[in-house]
Order: sequence, then structure tokens, then C-alpha cells
Amino acid sequence: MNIDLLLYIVLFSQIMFLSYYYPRRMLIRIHTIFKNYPPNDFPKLYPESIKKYKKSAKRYQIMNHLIIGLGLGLILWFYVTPRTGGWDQVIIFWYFMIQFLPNIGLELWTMKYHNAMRLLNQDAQKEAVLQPRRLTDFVSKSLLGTVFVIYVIFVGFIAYVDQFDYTWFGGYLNVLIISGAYLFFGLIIYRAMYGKVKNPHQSYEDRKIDIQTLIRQLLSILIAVTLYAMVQILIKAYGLESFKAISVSLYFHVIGFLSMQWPHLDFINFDVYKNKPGLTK
Amino acid sequence: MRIKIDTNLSTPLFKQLMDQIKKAVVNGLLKPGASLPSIRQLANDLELNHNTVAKAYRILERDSVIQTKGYRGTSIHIDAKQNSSVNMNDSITTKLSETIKSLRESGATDSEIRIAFSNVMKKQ
Repeated sequence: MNIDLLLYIVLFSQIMFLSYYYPRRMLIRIHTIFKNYPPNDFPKLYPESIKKYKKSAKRYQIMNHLIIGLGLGLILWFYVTPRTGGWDQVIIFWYFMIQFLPNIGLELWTMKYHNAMRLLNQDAQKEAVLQPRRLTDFVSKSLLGTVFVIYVIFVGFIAYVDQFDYTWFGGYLNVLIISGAYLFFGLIIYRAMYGKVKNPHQSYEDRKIDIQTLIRQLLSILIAVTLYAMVQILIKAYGLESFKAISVSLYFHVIGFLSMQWPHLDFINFDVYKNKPGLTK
Repeated sequence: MRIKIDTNLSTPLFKQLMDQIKKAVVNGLLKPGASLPSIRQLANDLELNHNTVAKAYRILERDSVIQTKGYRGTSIHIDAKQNSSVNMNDSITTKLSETIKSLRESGATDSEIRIAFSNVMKKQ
């Protein structure tokens, strides 16, 4: 198959997966909450008017539609413009960054939402489980071991490639970058495990599930990032650069898929958001 | 085991924390050697100041109800059950009352006792 055609197919798939399928699933989840857990019965779930949240959801949807348009325009531009292919992966990378913007917005919105919840929370009673939390309470030792082994393999791989004196090869800077990613994700995990309570009404069990989901996601992404870094070096070493843009796009598919793990709504305890005297919408 | 703190109660927060840990030890809910969460974790979970939890842990450690072993963290002391039944405030009050009584019997005035007590406390 023609490499260009393959690139268009993979890029189209990236557009539809990250800017249509992913947001659609997110919006279905949000609207299911609006429908099944309305403000009258679950006032603590809505520190602000539901209209405001519906507007934010609509904005999220519109942003994604615009990004789909931009992506389709990009494919068309790739098709009509004579290219050498050298910049394709850079363009795809920045397009992915744009695709990620609505989700960053959603994340910021969630932070504001939890802040509003905390401001309205008048509950004088605070509860905690008198038990230390450990990483192995949330993820299996085998997953932690896999992350560690892949990191060691990566360091070994860099040491091996470093022998060949490739002019383009960054050497141990690769180890530094990947170690930085491990450290950064480690900090996020630490904050999730021991940091301040974000949602003041959430049950301890639900919080545990949230932490578990986040840690599993981040560890899986770390594995993907490390493997991808090795794949990129191999592609360059074997002169398969025409596949680079395709590999970048496939990698973003994986990242999107790994970020799409959310706890099932049926398993969340929504009773904690029911009304209590003194707490009004 | 769950711990509950009520910010509306007049009882200081660190005391609520201490009392519940002691009660759990006496009732057998916390066995000797059982691990406790770190100060940071507990303070954040209960939305309390870290110093409040640190104070409760410090007093419990002084009373040998809990013990801290470096990186291993904090756990319940092996003699926690018998130490939890000792109320340090009551013990201090009893001992001081006895001392003041004996000083009064030997002819010291209340003013002299207060000055001497204050001087001794300053020297410590």
C-alpha cells in the first residue's frame, strides 16, 4: 500500500478516535449523569446551576467538531501539497496537541468544579480510614515490575545504541527525558495518593477507585512512552523514516485509548450527593 | 477502621483524634503493630492542618500508644492497650495535688508555691 495513503487512513482514524469517539463517550457519560442524577435529588453534585454545566458540555462538543474540521482540512492539505514527508510527524504531533486542548479544558473545569464543591461544603464531620495507603493497594506488583523492567531495558537499549556514534542520536539525553517523565508521573501519583481531598463528598471507596484508575492509566502511559521512544530510535536507525509520521499517529491512538479508562457509573456511590439540611443548590 | 472528626465540637481536634485512636486500641480495633497513616495522609484526608495531626501523634507517642520507626512509618505500640487507659492529665493533676498538699502542710503559702512552680518550670 502507498505510504501516503496509509498515512491518510491512520490520520483519519486519529481524528475520528480522539475528536469524535473519545469526546462522544465523555459526553454520553456527562449527559447520563445529568439525566439519572438530577439536581433536585442530588443537589451536592451541582455546586452551580446545571445550565452552566450543560453549556460547558456543549462548548466541549463544539471545540471537538472544529478540531475534526481542522483535521480533515489537514488531510486535504497533505493530499494537494507536494511534501517531502520530513515535517509530517511534527504537524501530526501539533495536531494531537490541539486535539488534546478540549480535554485540558475539561480537566481545568473539573478543578473549578471541585473548588466550588469545597466552598459550598458545610459538613462539619470529616471522615478518614485509619490505614496507610501503599502503591500496591492500587496496582499489582507485576504491573509495577513491568514498568521497572521496561525502564531498565530502555537504559540498556540507549547504552547499546550509543556505541554506534549516530550523529542524530541524543545519547543519554533520552534517558534523562524518560526519567523526567517517570518522575513527573510519580509526583502525580504521589499527589493522588496522599494529597488533599478534591471532592469533599466522595466516598472513600470511590476515591480509592479513582486513584486506582489514575495510577493504572499513568503506568500504562509510561510503558507506552518508553516503548515508543525505543521504536522511534529503531525507525531512524533502520532508515524507515517514511513510517515515522504513521508511527506517531498510532502512538497517539494508544495514548488516547489508555486515557479513556473511567470507572463505570453504576459502581459510583451517588447517594453521597443527596441533600442534607443546610445545603442548598 | 474509620475515624471521624467534628469541627463543630468544642473538644480540640487533636484530642478528638487521640481519643478515637485510644478507644480503637482499647476496643481491639487497632492491634499492636498495626500501621497508621502518615501525618500528611491523615491530615489531608480529614482536611486538617498537618500540625494538628502531628500534635496528636506526638502526644500518643509520648504516652507509648503509638511508635514511629523511621521509614517504616507509624504503628501501634506493643503496650498500647494498657497505655491507652492511662490518662496523663489525670495523673499529672493527682501528683501535683499531692505535692501542693504536702507543701501546704509544711507551711508554704500558695504564693510561695506558685513562684517556686513558675521558677522550676522556667529552669526546665
